[in-house]
Amino acid sequence: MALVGVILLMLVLIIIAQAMIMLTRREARVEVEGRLKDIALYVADAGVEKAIHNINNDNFQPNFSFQHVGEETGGKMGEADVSVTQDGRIYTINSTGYIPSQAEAEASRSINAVVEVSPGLPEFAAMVGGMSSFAANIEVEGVVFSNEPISIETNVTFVPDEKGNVGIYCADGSVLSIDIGTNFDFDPENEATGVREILARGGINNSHRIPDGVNWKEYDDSDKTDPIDDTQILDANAMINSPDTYVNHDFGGDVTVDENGRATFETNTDIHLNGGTYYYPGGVEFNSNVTLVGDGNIVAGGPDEGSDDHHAIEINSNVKGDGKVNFVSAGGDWKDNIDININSNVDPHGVIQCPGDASISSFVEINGIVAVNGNLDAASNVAFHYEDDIFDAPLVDGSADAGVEMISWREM
Amino acid sequence: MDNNRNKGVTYVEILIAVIIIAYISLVFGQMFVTNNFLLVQTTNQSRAYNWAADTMEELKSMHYPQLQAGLWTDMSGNDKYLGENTQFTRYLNVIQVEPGLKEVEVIVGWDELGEDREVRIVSYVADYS
Repeated sequence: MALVGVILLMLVLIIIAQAMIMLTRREARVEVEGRLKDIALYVADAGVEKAIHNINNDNFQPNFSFQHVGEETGGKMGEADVSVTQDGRIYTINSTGYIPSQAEAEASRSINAVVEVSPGLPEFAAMVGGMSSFAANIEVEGVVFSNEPISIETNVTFVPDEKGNVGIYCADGSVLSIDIGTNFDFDPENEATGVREILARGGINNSHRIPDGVNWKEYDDSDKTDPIDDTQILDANAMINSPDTYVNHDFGGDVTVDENGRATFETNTDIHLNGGTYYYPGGVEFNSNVTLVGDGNIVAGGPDEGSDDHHAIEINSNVKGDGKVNFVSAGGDWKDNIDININSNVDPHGVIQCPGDASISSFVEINGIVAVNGNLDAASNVAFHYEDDIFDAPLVDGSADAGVEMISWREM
Repeated sequence: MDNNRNKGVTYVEILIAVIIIAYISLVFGQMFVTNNFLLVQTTNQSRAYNWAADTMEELKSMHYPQLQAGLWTDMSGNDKYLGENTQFTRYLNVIQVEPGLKEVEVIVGWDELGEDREVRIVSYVADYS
């Protein structure tokens, strides 16, 4: 009887013990599965980031499988299956991460992300609403667009910009849409990795000077040669009306403002812009040898402003500086309809923008974007280098900055 | 006589009971060892994963240019975490996959009863600008 009692007691204990073992193992298995699911979430997030990268680089793909998550570092971790839908500037991204692969998934998790894309700066070294004149020995690094005819004189060279693009687009429909001078060098080293083309809505004079291998076309009707209504990039009004903008700031006496409200940056001075935006309604003139230190925006003029003797922005010789500075004319009726006049040996880094004409003298090197809604007249030995790394300024489309903004991110 | 025979237990019964108790003790002992091992393993994995996930979130919150490509030996002056009876070590690796896109890897490794174990998390970070 005692033996039977002991056996029964032991059986009960065995059952309890086995139940506890099973419970513990189950907990451990759930823990491992939970970890795999957590790792799958990061793989799904990798798919979201890849989709954002594609969108931000004009490589929109509605559906793609991202099979190589982790391969660059320590070996494949998983796969992400991504779908993207677009509604204007809003993109909805659905990404599911699988561990270790979609075919043999041990764990998976999904993410829904919504992003808004603000258009970046246009990829033009020069964007001109009127006529464009490029004198001898000019070098252009990037793409030029002009609504009206483009005149290119001798020894003009076009090379690809940092994004690998080189091109000339003209929206003018006349027989002399683009006139090419002698010794025309267009991507002579064949370095373009993006576009490498010359398109005109009208005729191209001396087209035989275009090197072999360049995609060129006369009487083009693609959207690349559609006229641009307004070439302005930066929102001058937003800068003028910002409470953070300094108006007629004198930089401690280094800038004088006359009775007509016209400011003059004095010769041989170092001006510390300190990341500010400075507005001079009556126009602004930089005397020779002014050094601009630090980044900033210079805005001048306005619809009701103007002068028969001056330009909205006049930059004299040897105005230099390492800072990124945008020079923006806000309009007005200025001397010879020239809003911005840049004299020799100036090397601005930023956007040069005006609603009227712009005149650029010899040996000026522009690293940025020239956005002229009137005519552009560039003298010999000027260099245009496309650069989109400019100082922050509000864009005309209302966005404060170009790029991608995450609106929402949630797990599905 | 018969009443006397029915009282008490025989040596055989005691022997059988001892064998059963020994067997059960063995099962219970094994259960405790297994449970303890699983407990240590799960605890280590949780700690390692949490540290890796915290690190990944910290990396992803950085501005893209700050996320320098290369093998990071240290991020915040502390690349080792001393847990109870266990030492975790963290490795960070950032690879530029293409311009504007980086692969980020976080590994937290530890020694468990003489065996090397690790938790690895991988994700990507894109340049939003």
